[in-house]
Amino acid sequence: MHKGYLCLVLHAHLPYVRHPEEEYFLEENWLYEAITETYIPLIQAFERLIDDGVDFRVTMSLTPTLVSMLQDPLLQSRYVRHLDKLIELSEKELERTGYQPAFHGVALMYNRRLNESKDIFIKKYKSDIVKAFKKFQDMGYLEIITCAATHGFLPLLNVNESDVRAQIHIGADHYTKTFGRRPRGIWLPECGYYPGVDNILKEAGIKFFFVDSHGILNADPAPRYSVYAPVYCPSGVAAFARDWESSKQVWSSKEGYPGDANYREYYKDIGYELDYDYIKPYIHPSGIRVNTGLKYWRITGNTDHKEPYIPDLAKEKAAEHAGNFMFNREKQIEHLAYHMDRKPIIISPYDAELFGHWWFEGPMWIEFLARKICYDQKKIRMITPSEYLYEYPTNQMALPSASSWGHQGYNDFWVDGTNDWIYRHLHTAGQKMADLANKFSAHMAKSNRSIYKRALNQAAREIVMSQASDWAFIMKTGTMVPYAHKKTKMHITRFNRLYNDMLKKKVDPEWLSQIEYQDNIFHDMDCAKYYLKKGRKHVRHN
Amino acid sequence: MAKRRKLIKRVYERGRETTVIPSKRKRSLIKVLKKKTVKAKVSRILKKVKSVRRVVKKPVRAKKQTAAKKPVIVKKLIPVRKPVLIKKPALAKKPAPAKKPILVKKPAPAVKKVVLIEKRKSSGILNHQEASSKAGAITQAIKRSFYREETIELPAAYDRTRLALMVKGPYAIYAYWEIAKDAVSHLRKTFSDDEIRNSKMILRMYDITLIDFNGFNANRWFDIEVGYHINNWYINLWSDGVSYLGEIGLLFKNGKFHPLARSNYATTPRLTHSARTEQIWMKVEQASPAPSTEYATESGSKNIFYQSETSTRTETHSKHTAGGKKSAAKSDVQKKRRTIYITDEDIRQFYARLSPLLRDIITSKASLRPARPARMRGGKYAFMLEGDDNESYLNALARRHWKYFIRRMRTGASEENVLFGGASESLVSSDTLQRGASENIPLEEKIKQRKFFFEVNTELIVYGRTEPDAEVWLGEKKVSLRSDGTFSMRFALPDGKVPLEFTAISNDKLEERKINTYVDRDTDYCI
Repeated sequence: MHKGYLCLVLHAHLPYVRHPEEEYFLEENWLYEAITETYIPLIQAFERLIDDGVDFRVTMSLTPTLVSMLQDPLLQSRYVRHLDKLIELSEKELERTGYQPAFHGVALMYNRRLNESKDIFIKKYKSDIVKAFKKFQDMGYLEIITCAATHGFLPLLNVNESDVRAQIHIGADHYTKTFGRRPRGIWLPECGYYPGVDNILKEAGIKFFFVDSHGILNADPAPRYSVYAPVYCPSGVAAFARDWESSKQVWSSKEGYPGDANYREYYKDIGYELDYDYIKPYIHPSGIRVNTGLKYWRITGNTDHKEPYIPDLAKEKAAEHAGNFMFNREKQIEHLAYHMDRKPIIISPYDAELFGHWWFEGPMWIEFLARKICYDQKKIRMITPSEYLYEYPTNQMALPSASSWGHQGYNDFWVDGTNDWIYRHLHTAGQKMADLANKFSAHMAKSNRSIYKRALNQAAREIVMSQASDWAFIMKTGTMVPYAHKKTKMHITRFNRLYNDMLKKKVDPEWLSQIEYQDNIFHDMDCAKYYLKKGRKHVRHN
Repeated sequence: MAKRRKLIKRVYERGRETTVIPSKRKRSLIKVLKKKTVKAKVSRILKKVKSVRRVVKKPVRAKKQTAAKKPVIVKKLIPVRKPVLIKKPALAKKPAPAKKPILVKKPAPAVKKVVLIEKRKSSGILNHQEASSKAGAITQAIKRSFYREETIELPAAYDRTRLALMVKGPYAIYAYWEIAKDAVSHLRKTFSDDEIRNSKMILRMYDITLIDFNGFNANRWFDIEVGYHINNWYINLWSDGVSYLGEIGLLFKNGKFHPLARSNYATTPRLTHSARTEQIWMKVEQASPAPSTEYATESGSKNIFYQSETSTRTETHSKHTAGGKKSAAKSDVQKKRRTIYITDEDIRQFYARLSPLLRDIITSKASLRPARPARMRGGKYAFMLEGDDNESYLNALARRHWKYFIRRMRTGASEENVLFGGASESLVSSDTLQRGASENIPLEEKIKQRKFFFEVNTELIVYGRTEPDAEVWLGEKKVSLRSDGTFSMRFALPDGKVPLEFTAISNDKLEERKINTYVDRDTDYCI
């Protein structure tokens, strides 16, 4: 008889980067790399598990921005182009490493993996891998949860409640459109919670969300079961908290699994290492060297000297680490179950891109973990939050503390000397948007061809795109900063122009079509309606 | 060094024409760069490129206006892109591609389709299939690349007088504000020049923690002199878990404060555990998590496999939840016995107590009626014994008989909640505890639960007496004495050992007596 549960949560998110105006756009590679290295390997792992009859559960958040990109025909076709190039490169690599036995095996592995990727992407899922995740959800193995529309950091957007409301409702409705049912759960961007946001989640019909450990530990009143059982916010939405013990084992750069010497080294990529003339056709056409994803070395240790990567050794290690992870969870559950009147649940959330992209062996590790939990022990089972709430509908009521999973645990990372200037613009634009939507609300009932309706919707799109937490994040971390600056300014500028044009009742249709084409996120949704006052299901009490 | 080089590359990468002023570090790097290696190279290359650019520039200007209508011409614009890019030093390292501008790129047949797509675009319908297949063609039609988009300096001001507070962390709030021009001119009209000259621009922060602010009842406030030329401030606080509201305005010499804008509320998070340990449990009905649609694969055998897989899962699931028919009934009874339905208003009140500022935004749908097994009396909630509640609970659990434990697992969690939730109220204060546990359950609720059930619970009453002016402590909690020096306490008595350590201290603190006793309960369920 099992004594407790493990809930593995993968948060898959990428900012909306799509530039139809340029043939090759460097930042679009984020998506392509993530597809090849993370999403497709995860799909493969899940498929193998299902084929072998392994009963597993994974919770995964696919953000609306990521889903939109994965379903965008332009990006899909560009991905195929990207993949074809890589396959060509891997074939050249087979030749190049022909006399280097240490590397030839690895080159063969890459060649095989890339061909498999192409097969899965084109033949099996017809370029839309969201279908794959939907399939796993329909089968009951995966629970997909939603996220705020563009991953806006809600605790800092809450100066205007209308912005938070739009972010959440667009996210939920986009999910409904994509997966054919309402979302049960949400991943709050960066785990950013503030008391009161749960009411808006409730409006959107969401049943649960996740917070970082201290969100629950510091909840008011103090929860009896710490982070090992959910609490209900007074609104009735459940909050699950991250378990720090299991998080550390995977995340930590020192003790974490991904730092093991046998694993693949991320920072030595042939895109940077090989001769320029040889690699040139496979990097950015303007000559900037980029990661190709073909890496031949293992971490080896804390030195500059690196040993060749040995896939079999790494696989062994991944299995070992999965075993170790499971063993630790068993001990944890055993200990906790002793003190609790219900089966404890351990929430282990990670960035999905950690698995595969940063930690090459990550998807393998997940697969081993699922298999081991299914066959090698009887103490723990994998579960999704919905299932847990179904089993235990009665939970303690407490108000979680405002928190995030960023540095220092609060909002420091997203409001700081490097990025605080954006909020003045975001908030003002948000207010203007609400004004505009209500002023022109009559136009929302018109046909989709009505220029005011289009302009209104586009204005809402520009707003939500500018609110993505990624831009503030990039400004703080200091890499690719000009891009983030440009993105923020561009969306706000476009919004301001739309706003002024609409007030003057002079919208340039040509320009509108152009930005509709460029910023086409949620192109089939009426984004402006989420800013309408009468659209709110919510009643104010005085 | 490698990092540095990377950074240098970043700065010059594609030579983006950003309007942003680079950070200090980068600025210095750029200086180094300009001085040393790149500068020479750049100028050399620029010379080379210049000729190319000149040639191409002309057609751009000439055709720009007509571009949208005649995509054919647009195609000719392609060469513009590269040469302009070449201006940038990073690219300059590899001038090779520049020499063969990508004229070769798109062969002529694309033209017709471009027209077609163009039309669709202006009609507002974006056909993505086509768009993707001819992305390159459209790209040219759009004619401006991302980094050469319209000038994008954001306005420095929006002409709105406003102040906003944003929580940064437990001890910091970020404030930004803007004073519109008309607000300033209004000031000049209302106050004399002399008054304004002697005034100070201040940010007044009102501490409104746990109060319903009406403008005058702040707990306290403090002022920050911000001056006239600054528009944001990081406010450091000395305590966590507080709510603030700010006002920006002029402070005159006579101490009068003239506010110009008032901010939103900001509540900083508490940095530690909550001191409150009362427990309220809530039940929210959840939809079944079983997959809504059965998944069917192409192969028949697989299909059967999946179905059986899911159905066994559901069965086992219900078993765990309810523990078979027998105990399912039992647990139902258990749940209903002490369940009280609370209204939205109750929740709102509770929420408001935790954070008065949230009072107005709390709503819940009437359709969803959450229940909680704890009792509410006269608007008050039941309290657990304060202090180390968790500790004693865990200890009590540890001593529990294993059979009981198994049973609990079978019947589900609610029973435990009920026991503890129900019991907790008896610990509130002995005075209010005259009524029995089921009195507050509405009659219809009672009728609904007419099914056979049997349960035994125990409660413990401890009483004693001492000098009326002495102090009595139970563990670390002070026991309140009646005027005649007697006291009595009533506890829920779960299975296990309950230690009771009483200490009495005489009025003059000279004498101290201790009485330790313990009660052991062991229940045997013979199912």
